[in-house]
Amino acid sequence: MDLSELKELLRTVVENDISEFEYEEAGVRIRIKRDHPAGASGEDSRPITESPFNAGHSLGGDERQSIAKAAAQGTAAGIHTIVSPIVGTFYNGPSPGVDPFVHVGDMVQEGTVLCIVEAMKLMNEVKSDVSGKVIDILVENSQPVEYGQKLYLIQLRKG
Amino acid sequence: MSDFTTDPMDATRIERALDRSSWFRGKIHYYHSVDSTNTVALAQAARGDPEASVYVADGQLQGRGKLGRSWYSKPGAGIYASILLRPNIEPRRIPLLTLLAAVVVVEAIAQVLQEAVRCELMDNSPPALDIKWPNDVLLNGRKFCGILSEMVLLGNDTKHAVVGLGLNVHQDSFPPPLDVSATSLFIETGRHFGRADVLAAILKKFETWYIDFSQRRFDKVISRWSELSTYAGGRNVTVEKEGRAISGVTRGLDRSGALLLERANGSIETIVAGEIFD
Repeated sequence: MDLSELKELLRTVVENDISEFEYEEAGVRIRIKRDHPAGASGEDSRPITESPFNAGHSLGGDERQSIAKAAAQGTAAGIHTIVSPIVGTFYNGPSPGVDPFVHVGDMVQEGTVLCIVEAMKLMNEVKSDVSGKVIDILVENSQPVEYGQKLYLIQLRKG
Repeated sequence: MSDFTTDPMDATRIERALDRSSWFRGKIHYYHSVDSTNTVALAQAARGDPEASVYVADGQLQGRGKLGRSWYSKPGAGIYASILLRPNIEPRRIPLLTLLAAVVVVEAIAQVLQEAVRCELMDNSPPALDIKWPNDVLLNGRKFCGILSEMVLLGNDTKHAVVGLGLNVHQDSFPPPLDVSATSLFIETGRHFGRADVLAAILKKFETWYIDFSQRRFDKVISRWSELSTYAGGRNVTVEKEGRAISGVTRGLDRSGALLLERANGSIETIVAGEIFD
């Protein structure tokens, strides 16, 4: 199971309000247990992921927190999710070694370029379709992304 | 160094070389010099220019390759053109347009070369055409055409796409480091082909293939690409992908146009984006 499939699994678990889930394949075991299913308490309804993962499938603390936040906040009111329109490679800036288009904490407008997703030398600039504040970037630069994978969480501007 | 400089190109010359019923007639925009024809095309698309508008420049100041790389765009020496499309096709299918563009260029150049042989302008040994995945067009193993496409979405729908072409036509040499990897029609044939005629041949082929694409005949594009590329199957390559190098043997394309690579352990890796090396 790769990272994107794991993220998809976490999303599915949260969206379907599943409180406990266990999966094992080829020596990789994943157990997800949620103490407070969505709706009980928004703030605490973070999925808990447990090892062991295979080498190459392990998640850093930040990544795990990021997934947990995405899963917990993705459907929360006032949070807008930007997803990838195509399968491809995610680039956070216009070219390697330059500043990313946006950082966490930045305010963006409708139409602000957030990233590029490339497939087969087709460069697709992903633009924000809302105005608000970038509260999380869910993918590392130069990583593969799936069709529909969540890329950015935007806190909608009030009013 | 004496690049050929007497091959004037403008909208009239290109249109004269097109069929009367061509989709592109009346929509050719010629510029002496621009930063990048893709940048012009994207700006004009936002202003509402119609589908099949073509933006052609004699030279580019900031010809663009992938991710901020530059495309050597010497004035008068190459074809620098971008085609504006408004396909009624969902975004995840649009990357296939880049394979289609390579098929178009190979078929058009093959036709131009055959015509030159038929008219006894060249001997009977035209250079070998090939496509390196996804869409570098090679003459005798060196790159002579690069294709960079860009897409703009409106919500979840494709708003427009721009296919940018850079073809080396008259160059007789390239500055390092391009000298080892790049070539031109002139270098490989010893003949100066008129740029307006070459571009018109490309646009004619593009029109035919784009009808297939619009009618969702995606498999036809993949199948033709596979016929024209020696990289489609059984070739040992290294792919630089997300900062790591993966070696393997090519095993064709999947239905989206992604390259399938068989690793030494027998597993198949699907390459959606990456740089291919021999």
